[in-house]
Amino acid sequence: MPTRRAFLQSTLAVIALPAVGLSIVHSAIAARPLRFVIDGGCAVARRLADCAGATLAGDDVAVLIELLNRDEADAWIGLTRDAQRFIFETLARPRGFELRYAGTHDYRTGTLQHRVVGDLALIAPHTQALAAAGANWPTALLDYAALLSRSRTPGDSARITTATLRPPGSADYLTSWCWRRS
Amino acid sequence: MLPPNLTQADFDRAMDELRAVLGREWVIAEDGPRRASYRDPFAPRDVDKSEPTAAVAPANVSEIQQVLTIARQYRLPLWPISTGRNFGYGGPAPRHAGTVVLDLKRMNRIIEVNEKHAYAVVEPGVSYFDLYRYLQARKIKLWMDPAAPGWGGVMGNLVDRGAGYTPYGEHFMAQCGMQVVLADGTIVETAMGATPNAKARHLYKYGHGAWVDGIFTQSNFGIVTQIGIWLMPEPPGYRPYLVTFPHEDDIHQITEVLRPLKLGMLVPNAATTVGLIWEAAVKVSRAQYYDGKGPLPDSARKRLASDLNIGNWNFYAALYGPEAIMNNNWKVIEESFRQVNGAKFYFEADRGGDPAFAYRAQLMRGIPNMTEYSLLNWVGAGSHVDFSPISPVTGDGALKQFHIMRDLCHRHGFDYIGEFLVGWRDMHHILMLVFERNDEERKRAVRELFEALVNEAAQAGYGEYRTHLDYMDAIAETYHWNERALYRSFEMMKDALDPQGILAPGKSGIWAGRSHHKRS
Amino acid sequence: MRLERITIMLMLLATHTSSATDLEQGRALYIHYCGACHDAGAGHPGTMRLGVSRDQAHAVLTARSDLTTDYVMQISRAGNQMMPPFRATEINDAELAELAAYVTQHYKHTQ
Repeated sequence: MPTRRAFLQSTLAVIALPAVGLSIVHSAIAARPLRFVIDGGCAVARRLADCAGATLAGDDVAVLIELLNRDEADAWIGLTRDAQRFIFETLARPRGFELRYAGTHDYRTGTLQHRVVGDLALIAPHTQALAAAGANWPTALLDYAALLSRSRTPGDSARITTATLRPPGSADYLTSWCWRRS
Repeated sequence: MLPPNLTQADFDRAMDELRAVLGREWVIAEDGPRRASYRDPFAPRDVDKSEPTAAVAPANVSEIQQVLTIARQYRLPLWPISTGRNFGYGGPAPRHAGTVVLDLKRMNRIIEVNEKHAYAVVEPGVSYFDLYRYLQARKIKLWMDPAAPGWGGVMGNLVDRGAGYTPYGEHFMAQCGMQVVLADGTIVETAMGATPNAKARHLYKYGHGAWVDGIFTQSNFGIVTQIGIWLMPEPPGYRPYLVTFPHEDDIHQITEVLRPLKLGMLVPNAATTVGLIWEAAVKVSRAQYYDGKGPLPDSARKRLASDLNIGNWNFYAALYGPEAIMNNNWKVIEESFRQVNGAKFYFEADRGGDPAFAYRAQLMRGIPNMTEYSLLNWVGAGSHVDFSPISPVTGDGALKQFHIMRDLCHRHGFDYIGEFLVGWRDMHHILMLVFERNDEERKRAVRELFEALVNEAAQAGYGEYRTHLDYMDAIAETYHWNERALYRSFEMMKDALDPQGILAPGKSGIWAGRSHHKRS
Repeated sequence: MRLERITIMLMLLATHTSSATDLEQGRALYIHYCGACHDAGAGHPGTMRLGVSRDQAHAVLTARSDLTTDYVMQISRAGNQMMPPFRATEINDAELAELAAYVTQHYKHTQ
């Protein structure tokens, strides 16, 4: 029977993208009380990392576990592939986190489609930013981080269709999410 | 907690270099009561987690420049404070514990008081008590304008755009002339101060070209080291008054009556429409009226109002000027408020030594005191965090905002402790959330309430004028019109003025390193 | 013999309480930093709080004979419940000692 760690690592290995793993953002001087988890293998997601002045904290799930255990941040916001989102969920739930916001960002139909789930009235500025920002849409997660952390799921969902094409080096399908300590 | 991306070794080296510049006594980096005094004692979460990595205290501008050189070299984030007694919004603490507080209290000179042109020039460490005693000792016939707790800073409060209760209550409006040290160590004198031997440095606000003083308020674009502030010449007469109103919904009519009086300057000072509990809490505590949980029930409110002879709303303002003018203005004011059924009018003599009237009367004529602090006695061992949306001076606006906030407070088990601070064309609706500091459940409840208030205000379109450290990002995000155009402009300025982001990271939700990511 | 008596006299002098001038500085500091909250009468939040959390006999600081200088200094630096701390940049250690001396001894001078 595989160990939990082996299982998690194998999940990551199945999705063969260039830099497998998770980039954890510590904004260099910003030092916010929330953290970002970003798929380091995806060019579009890395845009968010750049915007926040991120440094790579590691590409091993163990780093993530250590940070979650150290209880430094109240809220975690992610822009990752679905498999990584799942890993985070399995780590976060038993540690007392709850899901506050969820989104998907899908290039598979040709142009980018967003779907957001949460308190739609509250997160309207975020939804509008996704619609208006074109290829720079990941910055909306940074711009409205505090807002997303106050949303609640299950909420309603909204779909936003854009004309944005998938840039090279980007994943087909990304998820965004916010887990917050309850 | 170390500053981000700094190793312990680098941090220690930076502290050594700071000690060489400031002296060992003024670099506080060790565990202990000296560093613990920089916590936010009213934090609605773990107070000890608010303690900064270190605090350093320069004595003058030259030392500030040397500190900045070291900070730039090590990328050490600094959090400047002046008197650091802005409790309720964070006090001396920084936004993030991994920051070094730059304590400017030692720079506490009153550089000049000019009686002829009615202004003063002060450094960051001058408190309202300091300035008041200075004026009194020299029998200078100028009034200052303190915020409610007299230990606050003349400059600090003004630079955070706080307010007082005299005709000069909008503090920033009375500012004229500013000296700022930029992140690169450049000393800037703004406006007329930029001309050598400036004669009108504190007489004319704007100088030539772009007027930049405002960008150094509620922000992290530079360290303000001197400020000019206009003072009010003592008027020939002063008569404070109180008008009480019996019903909560009277706030509608009160506000409608007040608007023309404020616009026409018949009520020249920053007046206050004070809710029942705020008015009462200066004198009594909750336990004397109710020992249950949740908001005070109506029966207890009625007893409170009756015992203390106050209303559900209590309007404080004052008459200023020669006798004839005060008398004439009073006729108009009295006639106006008399339209509200049940309004009662009181002058000083009518309130017979009431400490609530007494401290308001002092504030409205520029005498600092600490009486309002008694509000923390409302619950045992009280702390507070304030929520302060701006309201228009309309009956509909004030009533709606009052209902929303009162109902949210009650739903979360808190009393509505609020007042409207009435400016010329706006009201600061100040909500004081008082909570028991040693009760974790209560702290959790106040955090939830605060979030609910932020959400409600965001969706209703109310903006806050000021907020506690923990909520600066949340409030910043509500100012998002045109794809955050305002904050994008702040970010451009931040990256130009402080490219390394060493000054007060996150103050008012302004962060460095964002501006080069343009929209595609 | 003579030497012994002189020695004793010196010891007695050393233990008498602070002179009026020593306390003057402490008094000035008290008025500036403490009085607004701790003076007697209505409108002083510290006095009001102590009247509730302790009792009326312990409400007015300067009327109390049970305070020690260590306690006063510790509370001023660390804060206590709704009273926030006073930093060294506001009142330095030497000033705090003078302040504490005044607060703890004032009751003697009003009798």
